[in-house]
Amino acid sequence: MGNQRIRPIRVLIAKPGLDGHDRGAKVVARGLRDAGMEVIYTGLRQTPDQIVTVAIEEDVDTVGISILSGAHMTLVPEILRLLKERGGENILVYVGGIIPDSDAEILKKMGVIEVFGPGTSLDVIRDAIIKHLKRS
Amino acid sequence: MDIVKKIFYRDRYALSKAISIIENREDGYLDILKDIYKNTGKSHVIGITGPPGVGKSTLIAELAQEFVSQGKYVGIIAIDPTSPFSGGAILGDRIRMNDLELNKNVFIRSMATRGGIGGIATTTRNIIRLMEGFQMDVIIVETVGTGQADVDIINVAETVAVVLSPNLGDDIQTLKAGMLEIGDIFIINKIDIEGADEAIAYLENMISIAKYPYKEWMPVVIGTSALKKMGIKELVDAIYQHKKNLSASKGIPKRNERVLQYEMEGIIYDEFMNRMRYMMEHDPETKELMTEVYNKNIDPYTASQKILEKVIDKNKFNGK
Ligand SMILES: Nc1nc2c(ncn2[C@@H]2O[C@H](COP(=O)(O)OP(=O)(O)OP(=O)(O)O)[C@@H](O)[C@H]2O)c(=O)[nH]1
Ligand SMILES: [Mg+2]
Repeated sequence: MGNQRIRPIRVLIAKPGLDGHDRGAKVVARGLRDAGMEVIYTGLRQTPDQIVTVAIEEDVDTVGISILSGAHMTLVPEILRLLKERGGENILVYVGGIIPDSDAEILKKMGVIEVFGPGTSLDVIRDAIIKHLKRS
Repeated sequence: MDIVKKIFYRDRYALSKAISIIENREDGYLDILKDIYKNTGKSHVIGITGPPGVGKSTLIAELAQEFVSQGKYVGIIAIDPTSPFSGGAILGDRIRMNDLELNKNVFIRSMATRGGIGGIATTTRNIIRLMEGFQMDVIIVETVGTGQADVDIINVAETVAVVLSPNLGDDIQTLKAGMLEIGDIFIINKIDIEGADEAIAYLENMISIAKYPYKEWMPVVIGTSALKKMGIKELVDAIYQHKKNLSASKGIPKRNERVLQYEMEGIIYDEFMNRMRYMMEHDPETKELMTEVYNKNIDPYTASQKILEKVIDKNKFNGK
């Protein structure tokens, strides 16, 4: 018999690096919950190793990385590398924060699906996740 | 190697994937459960329940550290409520468990209730099976924490600990009767704040007059501070003592029978609901019957009876 249950999209909202507040991350988490997703939130100052460990353990569909500290060019590639190394290459990675366009382009070439600037509406984020998950 | 064998050899990736298959009731989930059953039954399942914010997650992290320091493998299932409106959930218990994240002897999985109403999800018992199949020594389940209706935990755990804190104020006095009866161990957490002694004394008094269902064990009250790492060893000792007492008596078989019954009811219920929905939506004869009911050619009670017979009759049910 066909699968009657709808599988909710599982998202990890991760906050690597040293920046000390997570208001934005929490707003996104709530917004995605209200869009019917299961959102795992693990708090501040997560290392790439921790983020990837949690992503695999929780079998998430996507990871949203929120970075304000400016360390995105070291943290994000490391997360992408570890995901690939540990069988998480199908997990879609999004980045949110203050990211210069030139860096955003490089990150996308490395495999990040989308980069969201500050103030991106929740609808845009939600739609991007749904659209890309359907395709993959 | 098949997935059950991989899980037996403690492949974390395989465990994670299998949990999703079970949780989503994906095709083949029953085959995994059937296959893994032979490897299960050796883990000590501990339920942690109690009102919001009393420190359940923080305490579980400390408990897990203590078990790990004794060389044990620990599985943690942390459950949060699914929003009835959106179907989404925020799973935030891991925030308190950051220090365990890179520990290779600990596996944490967050779950949403997805419609389960007794403080756990309907698939939680099955996920515990998977963790048993992983040869976890200890499996700790954190219930939703509404503090009142989390009674299903007694259907999946051998030892149930109810966590409270001194600053619950009047809440501690209005403790719903159910809470007092499900606890094998009561914990006053946050003894580092004011009012701990009073809370412990009050609780001990409540317990002495409450009806606890097992003769082999009298519930104990333990004071802890998860924040200051106080009372954790005492708590672990009490948990071991509880299991020991129950094993020595007839308590454990009785509990395991209840756990087994609950699990089987869950599987039958799920299968039944799936079949029923399938029939209602896809079976021409059933749809025809519904039209007849709608046109008042047959009453809904007779029709329901007919559908019921067809749902449970394997020869008549042809939803694959
Ligand atoms: N003072 C003090 N605070 C504590 C203690 N244990 C936990 N807390 C704090 O209590 C708050 C809630 O802790 P959690 O572990 O998230 O509580 P919980 O019961 O899991 O909460 P929910 O899952 O939301 O129901 C946090 O701010 C903790 O730091 C303790 O022993 N003493
Ligand atoms: Mg919690």
